[in-house]
Amino acid sequence: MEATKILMIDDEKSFCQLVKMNLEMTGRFRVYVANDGKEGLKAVKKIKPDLILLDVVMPKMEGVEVLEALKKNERFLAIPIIMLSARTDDATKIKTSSLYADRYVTKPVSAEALIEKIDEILNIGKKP
Amino acid sequence: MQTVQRYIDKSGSPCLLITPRIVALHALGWYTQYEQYHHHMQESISSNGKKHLSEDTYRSIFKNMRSGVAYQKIILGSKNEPIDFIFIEVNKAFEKILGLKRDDIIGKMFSEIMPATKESMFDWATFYGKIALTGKEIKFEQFLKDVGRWYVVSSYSLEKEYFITIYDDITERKNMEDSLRKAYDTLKATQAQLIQTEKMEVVGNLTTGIAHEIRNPLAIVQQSMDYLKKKIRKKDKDILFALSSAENATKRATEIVSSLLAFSRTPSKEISPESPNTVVKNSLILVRHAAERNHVKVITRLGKTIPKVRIDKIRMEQVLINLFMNAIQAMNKGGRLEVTTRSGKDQARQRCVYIVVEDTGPGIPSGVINKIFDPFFTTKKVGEGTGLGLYVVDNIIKAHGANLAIENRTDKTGVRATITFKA
Repeated sequence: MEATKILMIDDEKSFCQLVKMNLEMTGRFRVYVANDGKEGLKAVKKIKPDLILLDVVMPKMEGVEVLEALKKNERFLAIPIIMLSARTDDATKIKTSSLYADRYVTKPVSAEALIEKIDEILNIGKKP
Repeated sequence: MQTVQRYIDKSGSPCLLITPRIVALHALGWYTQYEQYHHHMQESISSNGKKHLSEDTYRSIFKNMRSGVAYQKIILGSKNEPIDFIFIEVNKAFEKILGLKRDDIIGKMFSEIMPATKESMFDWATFYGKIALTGKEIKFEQFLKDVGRWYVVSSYSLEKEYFITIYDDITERKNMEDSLRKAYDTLKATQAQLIQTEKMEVVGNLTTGIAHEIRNPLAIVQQSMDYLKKKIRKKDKDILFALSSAENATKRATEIVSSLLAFSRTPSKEISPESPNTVVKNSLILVRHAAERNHVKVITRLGKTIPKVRIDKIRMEQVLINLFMNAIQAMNKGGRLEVTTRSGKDQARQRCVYIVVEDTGPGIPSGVINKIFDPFFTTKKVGEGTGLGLYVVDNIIKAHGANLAIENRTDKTGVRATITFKA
């Protein structure tokens, strides 16, 4: 079975590396990393991920802008997006939800809980 | 500058032309009006040119003064102590103040006219006696219930045992002062609330920033531990212990950050009139399971005509859930959680709505009752409470301009928390 391609867009490099290690350890995921919004958009075009983990507060281009750009683009709007952020305020949650982000997960999160969320989204629409 | 000219009018009466006009002799001074005043002199002009006012003129001035004036004589007892006083002369304004005709006042004792005051605490005879006997002047403010008006009362003596009291109506000034004081109090309260809101906003922004900065490294610690847990040899108990301790510490740090965030959110933007009973009911739904688990019986006494109060519903539910959970956790061997809502008036006679949360737990030890609102103060075991619960609750309550009082019940064991809202 081919590994699920996950693109992680987050400026915290060591966090990206650790999430990549934890997810890839399961043998079910292949994780690609981009460290800012602009780089992230380029990577989406190149990698065509099955799912995106997207941070909110980032230099150059904020996560909310990246989300908006992806959901406005017909080629990418079907890619599920999990917002993964240390921001916990309702305004950000409401904004990303209104822009059709699939889930909002607050940091810190355990690898186990994160995998659970990823599976939850990837299993939607699949036969039981 | 006042000028006085003397002349004889057509009827042959001596007259004074005074500019400006002296309208009335007032207890506090002379009132003047800038117009010419022709005054018929009913008094004689003596040979040396000095004028002498007739007794009728004096009487008329006294009678028609705007201030209430009374001339009284003190009555002394056997040991020369003042026991009463008698009215010798009063003017029209004084009659009005007492609500009695001159004939019913003159020659009467004060105790006859005002028998009620004999039973009252204040001894007016001794009070005025001092003035009449020592000649010491006095000035004070007095509210007369019967006429419902405020007066400045000046009293002095010109002759031993006799004294004069002058009543000047200051009701308008008092009313104005009263409304000014009320406006000032409202302004002060609004200002305090504004400062509190502003403070909360500053702290809120600061906390949101700090929380974000703390959550990010915590996320790294969490992911590192998850990785290590999978990679290390499962049999090494010490390493597993170290990892699970670090994991628990991360969890606690996250909880503290969440609590700080909850406290820092300002409620002002989502405030609307809400029914206190609905907020209580909604909050109770969320603690139902916890209550059942601890065998705690929930009793509600919700008032039927409780007015709505302006609150942030979500924040207030957070407050109540916190108070309910504290009560439930204090009764781990079962008990009763009693929630009451009622409306009434506070000491300042302002309409208030009360939410009272009571438990039958062991109560708060007397040594710590002053610390319960301090941040990070907890009586719970390490890891069970952040010590921010009541701190957050108190700040939310203050941001609503409400009050929270927590005390041990005196009627039985347990704690009573009373939230007071201005209705």
